[in-house]
Amino acid sequence: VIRRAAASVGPAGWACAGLAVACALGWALIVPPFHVPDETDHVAYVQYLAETGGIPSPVAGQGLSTEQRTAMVATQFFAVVGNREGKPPWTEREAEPVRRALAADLPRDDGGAATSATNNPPLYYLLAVPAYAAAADGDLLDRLLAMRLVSVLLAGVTALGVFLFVREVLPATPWAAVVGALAAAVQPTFAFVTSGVTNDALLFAASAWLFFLVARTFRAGLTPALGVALGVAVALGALAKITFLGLVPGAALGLLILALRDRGHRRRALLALGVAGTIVTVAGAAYVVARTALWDRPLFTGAVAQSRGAGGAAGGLNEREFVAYAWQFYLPRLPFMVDQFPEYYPLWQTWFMGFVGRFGWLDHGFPALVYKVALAVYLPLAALAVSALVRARRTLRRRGLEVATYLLMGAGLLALIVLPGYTYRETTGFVFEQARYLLPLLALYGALLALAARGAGRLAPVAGTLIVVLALTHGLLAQLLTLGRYYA
Amino acid sequence: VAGRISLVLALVAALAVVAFLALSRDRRLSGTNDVKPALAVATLAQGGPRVCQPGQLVPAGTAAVAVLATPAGGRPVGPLVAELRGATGVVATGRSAGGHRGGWLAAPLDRPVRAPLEASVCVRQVGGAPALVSGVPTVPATAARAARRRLPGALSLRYLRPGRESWVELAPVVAARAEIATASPLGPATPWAFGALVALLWAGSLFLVIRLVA
Repeated sequence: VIRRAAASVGPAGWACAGLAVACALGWALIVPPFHVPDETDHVAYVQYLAETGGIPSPVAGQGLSTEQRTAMVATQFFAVVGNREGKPPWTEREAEPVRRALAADLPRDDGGAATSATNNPPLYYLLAVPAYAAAADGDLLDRLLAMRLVSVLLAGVTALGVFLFVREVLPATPWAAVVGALAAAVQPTFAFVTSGVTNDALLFAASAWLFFLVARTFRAGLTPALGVALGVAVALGALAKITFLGLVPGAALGLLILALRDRGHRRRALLALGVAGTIVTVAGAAYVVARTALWDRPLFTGAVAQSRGAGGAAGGLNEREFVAYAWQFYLPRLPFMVDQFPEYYPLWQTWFMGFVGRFGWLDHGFPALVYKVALAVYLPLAALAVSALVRARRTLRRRGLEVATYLLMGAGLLALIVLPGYTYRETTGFVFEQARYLLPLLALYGALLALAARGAGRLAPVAGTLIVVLALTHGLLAQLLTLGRYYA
Repeated sequence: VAGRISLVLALVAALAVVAFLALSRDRRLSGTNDVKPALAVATLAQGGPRVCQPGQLVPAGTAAVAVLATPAGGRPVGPLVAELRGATGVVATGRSAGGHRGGWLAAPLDRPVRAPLEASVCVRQVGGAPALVSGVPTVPATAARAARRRLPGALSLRYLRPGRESWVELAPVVAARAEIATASPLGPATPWAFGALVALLWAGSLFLVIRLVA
């Protein structure tokens, strides 16, 4: 079965996956240690898990091991992060203390208190433990690079998911999958984030595959085999990062309606859904049992707990303000709304500029002109995609449920991002949403670019070619920008 | 045919953009003092005291020192005079151009720094309108000083290499720095590995596009 499935992908799909790995690996080699957002906390999670077999506790105290904190000080992490004038060690004279610090036999297992990663389920970190262990004889930075390789491989898995999704949704244009997958694979925010130690890498992979499996189900019908695959994808995603759950209601609703409509195979389809649900339930129950009984940790911590607790949205939610916040977070403010973001415009600054590229701990980005040029590129592409949709309106009507399912999946994710975001702002005064939170929708991004190419009609191959070259150039410029930020 | 022609044209355009950026010349860093220019920490005025930032390690290969200066009253500032003061006295001096309207103001040194130098970096204004110099609030021990008085913050300083260089000319330096900063187990092969991955990505993507799209 596996051999047949692998063969059905075809060489182009494997090539796209391989190229995504090459791209993310390039990023992994040039980004200094710990300079992917929250990489410090994800490394600490893996290290604690590898060294003690336990997961971090949501308690105050030392979240990072002595070894990691020493390495961060030695590599001048605190002087560099958030400070464009700060540079990592450049010279042999600066490198010597780094080598000494890394060579010291310091405690590796004395972290484990709360960090920003503590409330994450452990699946990604469990995947990274073998990489950490394989490099156990090296210093922490060797182990960090080994852990980064896990994320890099997941970038390839994501690109493969995008390829398969686009191939399913645009079956009449086989090359469209190559355009969509390559454009997604080299998208700088995606490639940069998946070059680091972060559970986002597994989240993105599981999300792309969920989109593919939903699309496949709409093509082939809900078979038990697809039910198993859907259950596994949802379980993997949910055990990677809670955010994944935003995609699930839309997918579940769409597939349930599909199953109920399928008069010929309704029983088989419902059985498949049941199989998927059982897999998710068993995986979730195993996680709950492990977390509470094996590791003695509360089920909810961090932003999730805040959004459920008395001090959070559930206890003090101002519904009108929340609706205004959610609306303005993604869309232009309507005249009757109180301005929730008087100092900036989230649609432009958080989402668009963030997606085009902000790197490090969001401490460097392109010159302002580049974002305007990017807008001038994306707007015609959006117009082409709309034109393709208008031309295919008959097909769209026929596939209305499928399209609605993708839209609902996206809307669910946006809702899940905004709820803890609102709570966080209410309790701390800060905003934490970042463009990378949209990357679970990378499959849709790839499909939209492929659709834009198709929208060019007779010139579709030309448009597809231009999109790939533009995407490659965008990615290369982002890497040069990062080289300049840290090393020039 | 149209697809392949468009591919060639797109590649030429992409190459032109990258070449333009890679060949554009500017003054490049030999280092910084890692201090964020968050707010004004000192005011320089003609005839006023010089402001010194002690405890600096000026990197080898430094040919100019720059501070982030903002005109205090809207009128142009400068020239500034910069001095590197080591244990034995003034090691090098430099003077910036005048008529500066804000931004990083560089003072080329009369003697380039050939080996890492522990020094105080001092600046004073010898012409133009008063200037605000940026830095970050800090503890007294690391603060800048003016006329023996401790200022509320440390100056943000840039150290610059000689002349104006393109990114292509700077590439070997960037590669050496990246090797050290990433502490990669690949060692000196790190920049080569990165270059090979970029080449593989472009070649593989273009091969796919030529075969399947264009």
